[in-house]
Amino acid sequence: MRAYPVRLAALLCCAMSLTICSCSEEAPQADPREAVLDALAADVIMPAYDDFEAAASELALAARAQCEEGGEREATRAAWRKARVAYKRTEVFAFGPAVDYPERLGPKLDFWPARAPSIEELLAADTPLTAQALAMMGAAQRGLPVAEYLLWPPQPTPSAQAARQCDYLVAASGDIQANAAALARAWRPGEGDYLGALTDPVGAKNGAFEDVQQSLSEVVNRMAFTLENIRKEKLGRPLGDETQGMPQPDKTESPYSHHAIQDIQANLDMIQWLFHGREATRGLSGHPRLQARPELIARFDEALSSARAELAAISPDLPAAVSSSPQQVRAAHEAIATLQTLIQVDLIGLLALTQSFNDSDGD
Amino acid sequence: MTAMGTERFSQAMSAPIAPDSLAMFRVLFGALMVFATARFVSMGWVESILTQPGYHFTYTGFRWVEPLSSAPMYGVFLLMGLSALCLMLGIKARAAAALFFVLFTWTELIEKAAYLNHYYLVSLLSALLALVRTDQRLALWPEQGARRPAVAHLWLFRSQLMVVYAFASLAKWNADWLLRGEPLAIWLQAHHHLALVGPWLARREVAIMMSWAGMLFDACIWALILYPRTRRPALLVALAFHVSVWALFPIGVFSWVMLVSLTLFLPARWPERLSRVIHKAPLSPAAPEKPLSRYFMAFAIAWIIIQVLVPLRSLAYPGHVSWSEQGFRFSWRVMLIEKTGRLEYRVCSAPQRCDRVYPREQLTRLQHKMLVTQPDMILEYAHKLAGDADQPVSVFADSFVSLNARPAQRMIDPTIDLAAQPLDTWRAREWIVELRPRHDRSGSARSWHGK
Repeated sequence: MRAYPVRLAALLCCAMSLTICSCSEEAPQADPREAVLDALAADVIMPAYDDFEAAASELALAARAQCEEGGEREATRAAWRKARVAYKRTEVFAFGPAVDYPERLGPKLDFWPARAPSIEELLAADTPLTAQALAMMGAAQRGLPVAEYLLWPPQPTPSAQAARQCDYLVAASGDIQANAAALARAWRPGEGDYLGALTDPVGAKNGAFEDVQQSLSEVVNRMAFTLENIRKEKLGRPLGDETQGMPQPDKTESPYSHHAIQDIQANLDMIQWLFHGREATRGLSGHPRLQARPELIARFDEALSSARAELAAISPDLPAAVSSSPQQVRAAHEAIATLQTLIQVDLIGLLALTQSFNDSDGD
Repeated sequence: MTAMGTERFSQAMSAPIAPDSLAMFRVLFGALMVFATARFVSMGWVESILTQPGYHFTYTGFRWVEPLSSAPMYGVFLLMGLSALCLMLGIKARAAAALFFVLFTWTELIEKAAYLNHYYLVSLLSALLALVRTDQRLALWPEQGARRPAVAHLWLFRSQLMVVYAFASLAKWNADWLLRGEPLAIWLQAHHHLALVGPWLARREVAIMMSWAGMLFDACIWALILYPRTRRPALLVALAFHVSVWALFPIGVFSWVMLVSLTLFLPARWPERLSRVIHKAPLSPAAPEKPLSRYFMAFAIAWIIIQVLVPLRSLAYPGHVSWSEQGFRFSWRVMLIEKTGRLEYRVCSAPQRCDRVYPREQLTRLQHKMLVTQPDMILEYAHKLAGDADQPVSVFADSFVSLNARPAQRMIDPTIDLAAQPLDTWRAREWIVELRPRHDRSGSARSWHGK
């Protein structure tokens, strides 16, 4: 008799637990994080690297056609723009092969702003200019910003230097092609398989991530970081956010090709695809926690549209606008801040991608 | 209380008890602290938390506390580990506890971002171990004199722990915890990949159930252990609860500290058989003993009153304490909040002459994570930025925070110059924007329209 209260309480607890669990409509589902990562890998990430690899090949071909077969510079410029957009779409993934040694492919492809003195120094020298030779040089003398500088030279090129400039363009384009291929290989399943490390961290060989939680956390945190990077480096610094409001038009990205806004729009393409998927899948928005919050998805769409619209309204281009209409650039900056908050605060909180426990212990 | 009542109370509190329980607590607590100290060092936290950061967030009244350089800091940890070892072995236990208390508390005061409730509890328990003799059993080098511990000694420890559990339970009486299962629902979904239990843990109903269980556990576990008829199942529940918490959440030695502490609610002679094997020296007769000194009794009562008042201080502030965090620390509000945030500062020498500061770049990951959601740290860093400027500046914060999966909203009034706000004050911080109701989406991250 004396044990009855304890046993009764235990029985009640069990009964309550069973009741609560059996009242819910659905049986436990497979891990939605794995599904989201698989979809992103197949539908968004790998296609983006494949696109960049293809666009870099086109750029190399166009540069050779221009310099060796008398083709149009405008065709090379168009190929550069295409490669630039394709690369900027992958910029969210500034981890793994992009930054890991020894390859560290990111800076080799996009060290910006271009260091004009370093480029001019190489143009003035007589060292051989081949893709192989560039592969041994520092990041300031190779990559997409260097190709941009050569395609849109700030000063008219002296005729005596034209041939060497063309050699440099062919070499730089070849180097970009090689690095784009290396980047794609590093991600591709069956080769470097960083994609496998991201989507199947437990089964992966290289162990870049401990589990799917960490993988998904990396992707979403990188989305937020990319948006902060746009605001801080690409819009804020030219606006004068580090110089007491004094505009710094020479601090914009892709200044010679006037491609800064398109660069940012390409960054936003990837943010959109990661959130919504690209072709057949839904991306992060397919996660059940997010499906249960349709208003958050609607707010994302609204914020993204607003950011794109504010960017598109910047005219004539970013370097000019930071001085002539800084309020328009600031509006874009703020619109992207709204998007950043949605991802960094709402989305990361909702998906438990960071925990309030600190790095040393909890609570 | 009448004089006679006071005398009776004093006599009752002075009654001797078996020393075994307190001695065993000292041994277990000391062993845990040896482990915790070694773990802190082995994880690299001496460097990453204490010596490497160029800037430290500090506590009101303790802004003067600064870290030593790397080598002396390791010396401090060596000394801390040795003092914990002496405490465990009963080598001048009170002196060892006092030294451990000073060193441990000092290192905790260096960096506010590293604040943890259980570190605070460790400081309090080690302070009590420095004041109360626990070396009559299981001690290699006890103090002279063999006076037995008294009822008051044991109940001083027990009261401290009852305060912890009571406030931990009370803090859970809110809609987020009991009705929505937040933040447990957020945290548990991270374990979806676990075999068998994973998919269940990701369900909100399970989070709600666990939330209720946690609240009830905190409310009554100590009482169930005290009560003989419920003791055994309660101990099993306590073991299951704390081990589960330890397995599911990265909370270090917290679970083990609490399990060790719960042994104090067992009968005072529970480890008697073990301690007799180790320590055969006879104790002084159980009675009569002199009453405990008035000073000790006054101290014990004052200690308990302070321990009750400190968590209650949050009632003096307006708004939601989990949001404003005024009165949040040192209040046993354990595992209550999941906050994410974004923070930037505008440092202005004139209205249109502002620099924008992204604090992520100047701080460690831990500091940044804590900074972005804690108003007092946001204020402190604003003062730091103002102090770094080479001319008078105003500092404004653009801070967006989500609490327990609510929509993000502004936390700090962006029109307020934080550099002009007092850093060390007990007054309510009116520049903290009120927490909006959960379903009010009007104030999302978009823009500022006043409070």
